[in-house]
Amino acid sequence: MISAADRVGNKPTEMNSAVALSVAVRDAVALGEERIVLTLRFSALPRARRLGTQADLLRASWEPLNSTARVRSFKLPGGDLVALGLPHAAADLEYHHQVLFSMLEEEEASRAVQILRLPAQAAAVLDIVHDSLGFTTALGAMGLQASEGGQPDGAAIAAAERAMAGVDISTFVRRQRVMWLKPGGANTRLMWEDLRVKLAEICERLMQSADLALPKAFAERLIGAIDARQISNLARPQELRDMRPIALPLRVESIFSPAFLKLDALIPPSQRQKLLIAFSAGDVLADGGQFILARSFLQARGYPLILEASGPLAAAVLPSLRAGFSYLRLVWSDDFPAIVSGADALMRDTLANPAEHVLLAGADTPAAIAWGWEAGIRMFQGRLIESQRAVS
Amino acid sequence: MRPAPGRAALRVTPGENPGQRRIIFSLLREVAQVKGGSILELSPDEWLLTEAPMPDAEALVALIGRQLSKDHVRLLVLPGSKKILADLLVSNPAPKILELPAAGAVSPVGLEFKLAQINPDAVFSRRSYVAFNRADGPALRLQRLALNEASLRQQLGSYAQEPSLLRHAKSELQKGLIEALGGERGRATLLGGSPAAPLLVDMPPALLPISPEHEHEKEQEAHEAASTIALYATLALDAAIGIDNLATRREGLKRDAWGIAISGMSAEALSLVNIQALPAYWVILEWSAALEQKTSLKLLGQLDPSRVILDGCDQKAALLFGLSLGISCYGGPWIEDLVAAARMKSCPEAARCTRAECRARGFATTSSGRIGCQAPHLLAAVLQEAAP
Repeated sequence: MISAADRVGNKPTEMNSAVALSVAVRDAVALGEERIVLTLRFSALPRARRLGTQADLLRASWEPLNSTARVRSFKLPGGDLVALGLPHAAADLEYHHQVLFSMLEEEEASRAVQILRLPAQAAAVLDIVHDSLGFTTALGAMGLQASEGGQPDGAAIAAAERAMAGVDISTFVRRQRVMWLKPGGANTRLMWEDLRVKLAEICERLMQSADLALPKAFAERLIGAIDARQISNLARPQELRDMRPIALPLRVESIFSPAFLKLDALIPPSQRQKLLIAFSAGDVLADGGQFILARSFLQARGYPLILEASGPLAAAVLPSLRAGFSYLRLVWSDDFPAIVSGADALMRDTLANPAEHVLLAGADTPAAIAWGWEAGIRMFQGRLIESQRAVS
Repeated sequence: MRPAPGRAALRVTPGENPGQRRIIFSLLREVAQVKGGSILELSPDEWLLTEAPMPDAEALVALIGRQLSKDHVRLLVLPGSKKILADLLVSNPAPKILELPAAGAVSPVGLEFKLAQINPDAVFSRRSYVAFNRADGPALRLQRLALNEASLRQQLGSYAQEPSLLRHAKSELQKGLIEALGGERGRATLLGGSPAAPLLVDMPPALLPISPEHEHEKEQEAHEAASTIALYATLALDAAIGIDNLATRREGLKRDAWGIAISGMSAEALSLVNIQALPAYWVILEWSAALEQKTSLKLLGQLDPSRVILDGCDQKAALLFGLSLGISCYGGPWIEDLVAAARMKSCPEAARCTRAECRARGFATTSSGRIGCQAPHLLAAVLQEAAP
């Protein structure tokens, strides 16, 4: 069995040792008993002293303290050594203090080698334990960034939702074509249309004060309401009569909504393959069980699925083909060439997905399309694509 | 009712998931509307489609069987099953016609007020992850300040019915926890003393510490200084995959003694993800019986057991399962029982308390939650070093 200790910096024995030391210190304090503490803190020494022969010599002169009955020696994570003895071991500890002191420069020694007394100096000893566990460093780095402005309260959200009921959602829907585009431009054809609500514009219109950042969960709630409206629009007779292939980004929850189930009952079975349902990777992994239920329903009914990955990490963590998606939709970012050394390597190693199943959205520049082509991608969506004409 | 040959009735147990129930219902209704038959509710967890042509009924069985499982749906071929059907209808003389259960929306008005009233002790607990490397009992490996979802649901009342409101509440409470942890007094209150082991802290991605670029000369030294990791930013799986530079940030965080842990890995999620692609130090895997199924086992084979925490262990079977895979770190109610028992064994005041009291005080994240403990230093340390 591979124990975690073999690979991890914090060895459990040293960790336990840190716990044992803090228990011993607190015990002494609780009972008001006197204890003498000797410390050798490698972490307070310059680098040269911490490594190699010099450190070995220091450890060797500590060694006798590990084997006397009157003293308990603790090796803390990070290598610091602490010895704790009863008052009658004071002379012994003092002797070792002198020895260690003589081996170091005075300035170094006064920081690293110390005699402390319990219960009076308990706080100093506990600080050493704290330091050895890295808490001082970690807590210092803790990002208590000033909160990013105000956010709307529940009442403002509820008001926005009420306002949305009276808004014609179709004015906020952006339709973009997804084209099959090969280098050289042969066989350019329309795959489907992407129907997407411009959330930012809706928020701007609905929220009373525009400088408020919409918390993620509230945004999801708004999107859920928008989903229902989008779905109901599709269920209108004129839309159903003349159905063209479209991709609709939905929340997984929306599949279980009455609106979607009503639409499902109205779409003729032969037309279902024209409705491509897109889920975001984050939404899929927020509740894997719920996604699996939705997937088995959608697959049985014949709707193709698109996975929308916010970036390469999402695409790599959630392999789209294995998870049952027909297509993977990546959104182009100018960082792409920098994040991955070669576009084809991203496809091969990270995405493990045949490039012909990948759609690159946000293809607004020739650079994006060039990168996509290099990666083997043939499906594109974006401003540049809107100006392309399908051959047939 | 026309129990004609070539037709069949369908008996379905739709399960508890409301979304699932809606799907099953609309599948049944679709056939009923076109091909005849009615949908009856025999009981809240049993539905009956009175009749349908055989091919449609069989297609439904396949479809529903795939959605639920084969034992949730039964085909009653007519006229052979006429008697069973008649009995069902007799024993349920007035079946009500089923309506599609609607999804009600919960208003977010007043949520902030509710959140402000929640006492951290009611929703956070100080949990222990232990290793079983030695024969003589559990050794404390990690601690976690975890948000208890069941308690949060209870506190939130009707707001919790809406997943997005529940998520918002979680992220707000986690923000508050980080703020409290940043202050010395808040930290001591939350942990009952100083941290006894590296601490996992649940947080939304926005609160992940930003490590400034270290100056070049210091880099070597700083890198070395953080040979230990004190705090693990514990991110939910779905949130973590949204941080595209997570792998790069992990290196910077490491210099500041921070690590990354990923929570929310269920048997279902495991079947979807490529776990090696996650730049995390720890992956918290939720124990469930489904983990033991073959598909999951195959996926588990790809895991590095030294990076896995098996959480939610509620019985010995969970531990045995984990040990068989080489996992060395465990948490969950059954583990907390062991921890409380081991602590009481070394506690001189143990005679005054019950196991349940000691366990509850170990979980506490406020001073009032620990009242009654006569050995607070032992409680703070969670577990003493095992006897040599």
